[in-house]
Amino acid sequence: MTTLEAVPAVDPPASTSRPRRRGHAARWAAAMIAVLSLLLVGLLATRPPAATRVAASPLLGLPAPPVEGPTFSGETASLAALRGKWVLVNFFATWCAPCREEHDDLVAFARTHDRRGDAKVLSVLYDRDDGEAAKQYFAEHGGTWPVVDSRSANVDFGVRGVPESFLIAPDGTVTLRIIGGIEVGQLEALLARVQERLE
Amino acid sequence: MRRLVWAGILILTVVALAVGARSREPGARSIAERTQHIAKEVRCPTCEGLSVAESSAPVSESIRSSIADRLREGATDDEVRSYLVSRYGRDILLRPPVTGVGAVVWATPVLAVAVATGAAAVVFRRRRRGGDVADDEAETALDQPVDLELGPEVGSKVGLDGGREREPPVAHRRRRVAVATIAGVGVIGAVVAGALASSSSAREANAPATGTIARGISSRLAMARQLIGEGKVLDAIKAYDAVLADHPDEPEALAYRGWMIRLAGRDTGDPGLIDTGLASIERAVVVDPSYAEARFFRGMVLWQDKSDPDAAVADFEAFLAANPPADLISVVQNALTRARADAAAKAGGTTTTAAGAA
Repeated sequence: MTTLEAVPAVDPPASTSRPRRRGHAARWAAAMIAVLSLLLVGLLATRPPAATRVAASPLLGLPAPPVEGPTFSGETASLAALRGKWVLVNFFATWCAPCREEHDDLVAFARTHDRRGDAKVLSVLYDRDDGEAAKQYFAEHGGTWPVVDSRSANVDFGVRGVPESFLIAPDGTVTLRIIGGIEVGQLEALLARVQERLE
Repeated sequence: MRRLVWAGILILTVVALAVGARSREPGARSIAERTQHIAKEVRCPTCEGLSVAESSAPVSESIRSSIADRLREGATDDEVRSYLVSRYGRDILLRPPVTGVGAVVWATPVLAVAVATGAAAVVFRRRRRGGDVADDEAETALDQPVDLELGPEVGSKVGLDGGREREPPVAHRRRRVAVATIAGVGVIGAVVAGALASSSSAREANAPATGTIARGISSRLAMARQLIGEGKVLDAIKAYDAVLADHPDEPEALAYRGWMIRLAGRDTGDPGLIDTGLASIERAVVVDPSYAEARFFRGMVLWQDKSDPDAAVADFEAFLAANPPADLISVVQNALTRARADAAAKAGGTTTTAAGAA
């Protein structure tokens, strides 16, 4: 009985303190959410852009799928013909902005390695309707490496979008998959790393 | 009579299912239909949540034409799916997993519907037997003693059991609650299972629909190879360890496990790991000297890590003589040529040194 009588006496302060506590909890929760949101925004804002990255591919370590097709001049070019050299197989389209951005870097890379004779670039048209535009683009912006129109290469290499590049070892195995635009310094570093690992 | 009706419904259902299943046989469909069917199961790599069939992105067009090309060349639907997985990885398939937990997820809604239907059938049957009391009568019965107020017809039905006069309305409500609960559980189960299934990753194209339970050794090895393909080296090593726990002398598991450990050793510059890897590969060679890949792996380690091109040449030659997998032949031939050159250079170097010393 004493406990029953005690309940009303205890109740009023409890009923007044509860809303206050709830209000505190809501404020704390709001503050926490605000802090977490700010942290997330900060993290996303300060993270380096994920434009270029080396990505996994089921093809890594396996022989590269064949790439063969007509070039701008109508001749046939193929990946197999470049066996014995490192080859950067580059999938691109002229309507893709990062592809245009990386073009000068590819020209620089091709020039350096043409002199050394150790690596080649082989570009593949990602969009088959883009052939004429690509021909004109290469004429205006340089680039003497073969550009092939290969119907099957996109899917054979598991290309998801452009630009995307694959570094093929002299023995024809796929060693790297690079998603996004390429910067020549970064590409040289990647090539050196892979060469060191394999040779 | 009622049994006859039920039997009729059952036969109709079975016939309908059989006809439906038959019309899905691949042989009966054109290339365009098969392409469309596969394209619906393939995820567009650049667009969220769309299949290749629904998307007009260039990559989807490429994949659609590739599917059609392969079907025209005589590939089966499963071969086309496996090809796409081998190029894009397993996440290219939209189909939820039907392996392991996935199988449970898929079976749950079916079971839930079956159990709910069965329970509902039982409840309705009991209800019919127990007393066909109309709702308004039941409401009245709650307030008044049944034996006095109900008519002789109802009273005779309800009054079969003397102790049950007051029970029917309560039982009636209980049954309703039970039916509602069962239906609710069924619906919730179906929704949860559906959500789980749609959020799960895709099943391996050629994985058995029976799930990972009682998986054979060959599919466990294929799974590990798939993990290597996806770049998940640690997971692959774990998968091989699991195979070796059951079959300590499995040459493929020994060889590939060793090769993966060796690659990790090269990446981290840890010679201890390279030696561990080599030991595993060596064991594979001892267990099965005719297993080609083990010879290739050992040759590569001896040549590149142990600077022993002579031993590597012997292993590469053994690989080529051991009915090797076609996709590795050119790689090994190339390695053999270079290892021979290294061996010759080494021999030449030794001669020079020896001549110098003399």
